[in-house]
Amino acid sequence: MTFEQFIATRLPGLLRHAVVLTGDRELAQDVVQEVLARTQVKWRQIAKADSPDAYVRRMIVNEYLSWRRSWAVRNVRAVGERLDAIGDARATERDHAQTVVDADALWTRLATLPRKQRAVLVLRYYEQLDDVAIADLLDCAPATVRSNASKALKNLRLTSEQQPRVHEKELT
Amino acid sequence: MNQDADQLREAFVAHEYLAPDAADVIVAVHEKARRYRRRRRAAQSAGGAVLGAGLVAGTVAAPGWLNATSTRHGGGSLSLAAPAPQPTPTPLASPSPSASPAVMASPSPLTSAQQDQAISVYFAAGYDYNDALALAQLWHMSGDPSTIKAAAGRRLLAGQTLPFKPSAAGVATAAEDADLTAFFGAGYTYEDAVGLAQLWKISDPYQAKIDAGKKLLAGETLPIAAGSQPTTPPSPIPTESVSATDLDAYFAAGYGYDEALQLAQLWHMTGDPATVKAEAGRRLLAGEKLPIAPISPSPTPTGSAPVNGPDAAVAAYFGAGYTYDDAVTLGKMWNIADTYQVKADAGQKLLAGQTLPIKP
Repeated sequence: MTFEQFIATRLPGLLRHAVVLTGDRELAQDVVQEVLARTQVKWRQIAKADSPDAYVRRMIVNEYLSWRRSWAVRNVRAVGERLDAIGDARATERDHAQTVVDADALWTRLATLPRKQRAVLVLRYYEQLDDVAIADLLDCAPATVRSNASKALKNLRLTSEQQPRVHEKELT
Repeated sequence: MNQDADQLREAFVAHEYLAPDAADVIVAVHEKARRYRRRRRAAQSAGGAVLGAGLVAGTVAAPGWLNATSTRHGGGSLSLAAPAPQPTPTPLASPSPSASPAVMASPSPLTSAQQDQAISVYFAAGYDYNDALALAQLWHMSGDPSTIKAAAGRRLLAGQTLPFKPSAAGVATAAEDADLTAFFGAGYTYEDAVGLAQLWKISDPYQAKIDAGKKLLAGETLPIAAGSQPTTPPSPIPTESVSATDLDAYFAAGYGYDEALQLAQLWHMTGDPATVKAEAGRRLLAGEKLPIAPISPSPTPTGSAPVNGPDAAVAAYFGAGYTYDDAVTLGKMWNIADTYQVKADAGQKLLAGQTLPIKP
């Protein structure tokens, strides 16, 4: 398989993976571009891997976790924008399915998580990896994965409990 | 817990649509990869020169900028002949944050030129990106990998060794690097590689550079002169050679305008998309396979619903009563990580009248 064939077949999936992982369209694009540029340079070696797709996904996760340039600034701005956007959506599309609204709200809360906690949730619930595989990918112990997942879920629930009060204010 | 899992999965899947546009990414990836290759070549020459000078001198001492508290050099050049007095560097196998704080703790005490030079030495020694990740773990450093590479490069410049040898991947590219160095050292450019790839019927210009480098190292001459190709490569076939037969083959295979745009980017072709379509059709007629599958249906006079492409396949998948969870199960059976790809593949099978290994 050539690099071009790999991109043609795998890029859409990698971009979906990246945007779910990062929660930010621009950051996802930056991370994927960075990773694929390096992949292209090293393609002959990467193509020999058992699963180049898994290898590149691993690179994306590592790149996201080590990404520092402007990330904090970008993330704060993006969350703010997203909250505004969701607020607008609520005002105009109140008849949408409750699940969609819940998914949007949860997506917003996910943006407040530390990167490693978010990555664990994405790998566990979106990529359907078990904790051992996640631990291998993140180079940590399975117990650390479970700890991060537990903290992440707790953080999400705490934020969720604060949400109804915000909604009441919004409605009035 | 299951409710959490379901809600999270729904939230993730519901926002897949935020994924960036693939076409934008492809263009940027090619640009970045070109820059990285140039940097690797620069790394080879600059790093090799610096290391060579050190070996000839018989002693390589830490240059002044190794210590962040010492006076920094104004330019990017190193003063190997008269090094500033330095403390003995900390052994790398057991890095201690307190032993060499200037090197380990300071993220970037160097000028841009100095950092580039350190990175050059790092790559010249055969280390690569994956090695930088491994070093980051050993040294408990986080952040931009280039910072780690620079720190490692500084240690190499100081005559130290890194905790491990270059990875297998880095060693394996040494031969390639020699070929590339020969290619670019002879004055050839990326555009020349594109021209050679077309001449030699190779789809990957990078492979053309490797092959060309081998020939140059063997004393052979290349069929085109160095730098003879224009910066913007011409289309591989002239417009007047666009034939109806080629175009018919292209459209008959289910490809359309959108695919032509993607192919143009992949093949670095500019100009009329018809030229790209004709080139693709010519390859199809020659029995070759195109690097992308058809993504858009052939236009039908009746304007009927799409009958191929991933979206139609996914629609067929859900129309048959299958769900996301089924896609996850199928993905595990078929060893495909991307659930959307699973849905598309499953939908294609359903559209082709086949049955799936699980029921909805």
